[in-house]
Amino acid sequence: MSLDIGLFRLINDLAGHNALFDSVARLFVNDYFVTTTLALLLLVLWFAPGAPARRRRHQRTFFETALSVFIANIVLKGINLLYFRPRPFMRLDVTLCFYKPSDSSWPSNPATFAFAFATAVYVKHHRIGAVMYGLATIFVLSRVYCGIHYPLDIVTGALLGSLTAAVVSRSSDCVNPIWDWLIGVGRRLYLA
Amino acid sequence: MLHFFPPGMLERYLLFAFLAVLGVLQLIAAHYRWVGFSLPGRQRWEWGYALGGGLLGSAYLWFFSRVQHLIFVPGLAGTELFTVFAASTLLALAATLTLVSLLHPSPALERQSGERAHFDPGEGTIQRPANSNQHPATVVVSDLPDGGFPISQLRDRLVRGGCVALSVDLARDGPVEYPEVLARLPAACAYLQDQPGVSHDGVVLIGAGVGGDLALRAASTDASVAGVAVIDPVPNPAATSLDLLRHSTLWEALRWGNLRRRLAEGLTPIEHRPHLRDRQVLLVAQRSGPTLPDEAVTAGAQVAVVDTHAEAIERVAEWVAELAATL
Repeated sequence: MSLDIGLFRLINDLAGHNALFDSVARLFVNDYFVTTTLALLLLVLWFAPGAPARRRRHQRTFFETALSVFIANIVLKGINLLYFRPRPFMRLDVTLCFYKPSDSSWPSNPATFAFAFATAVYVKHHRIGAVMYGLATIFVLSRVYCGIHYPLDIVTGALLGSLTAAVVSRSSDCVNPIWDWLIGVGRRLYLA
Repeated sequence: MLHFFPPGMLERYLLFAFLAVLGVLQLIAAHYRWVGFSLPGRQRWEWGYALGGGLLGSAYLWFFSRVQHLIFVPGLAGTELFTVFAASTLLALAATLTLVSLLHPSPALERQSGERAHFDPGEGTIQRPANSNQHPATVVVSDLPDGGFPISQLRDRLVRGGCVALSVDLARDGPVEYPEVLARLPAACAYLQDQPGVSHDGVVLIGAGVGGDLALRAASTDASVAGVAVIDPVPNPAATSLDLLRHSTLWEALRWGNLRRRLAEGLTPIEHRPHLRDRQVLLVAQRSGPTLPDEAVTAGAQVAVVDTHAEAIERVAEWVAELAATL
């Protein structure tokens, strides 16, 4: 735990010294910037052209990503019911650049979301997935920089999200008929 | 469900996501050359990049600079964000597709620079070179919807190259189903060969999209066909749904898409490909197209991958001239 706090101090102590870094962190740390950008990238994946089999794989990824995020969120809520970890600003003297969230610090909800998203896409489309991993990494680091998460929170959240997405992707054979049906509906509307 | 939103945030986020999705759709349309999504219109891809980039940039700039007082307060749950984003996406998609259908209807009724030709069954437009020599005969078949490929430009180019060109429009005189459609090209070929100033050395068929499928199929049974040029054939009709928006608006896709799929499924040009072994075949695929023709289609054919319609027209015209010289 002391390593976790030490790492938190190392990153959070950088905050408040450089207006540019603080502004960039405030841009990435909020609930809208990265989440919306990830969703827009997923939209690009839906429409990316290619051979029929490749396009179908991309469009299935769209639904697999949604399912991964949904399942990861349920697991996260379950963990939150069992265990509550206070936020860093509740215990320590921190430099805070964001509002004070009241839910449990561990595991990090944004890290779970962003890494579930990035992993689900990376499995099928490396280039867009790599961009998503980059965004997710900056997103979660900014949460520590701004004083609302410990490093352990984001590592656990990232692992939870990535693992969920990997499991969903591995077991996609069971749900592919559902995705194919939805893609079929999209095809009838000329949107898939 | 949306009670967690700070007051004023719901409509602001809805607008932000709507504008951002609209911008992304314009960038996609410009990058992949999709007519059905392009608000600036056909072939105006630079404007599409500018509009898309402008919308996306403005949305982000406005939201993250002017709405900061709502961003940095507690409130949002992921489910709500997803719901509002999904609603914005659907709204932006509907707005884009509707606006493009209204603003840029198909240039389907192309200018008639030739004379109308009536054969049984079917109609078309015939165009001849000015002199009275014997000229190679070409039959050109459009796609469905027919705004995708500029057939009249191809016809003009063939005539400038010294051919008599008869274009057959699959849509102009009403929808035509498979297998009735099969009678059109033999009728057009017979009509063309009866015309004065037309060489009897064989007809060259040229088709775009499903018109290309029809040309391949007709050539497999018509001994008077000397060669076939096909531009962007439809090898997999079930997989071309979204790709129809590459060259038509949603309205046109809804109007003609099912017929196009039925025709492509019935024509099965790949299965009839072996019957063409002794005939010259040119396959022209556009690099930005949905898929390049696979080996089953290209076996024994010349293949040209091009970037633009103009390049495709030039390549076909050169090939027809080379073929005509050998007849």
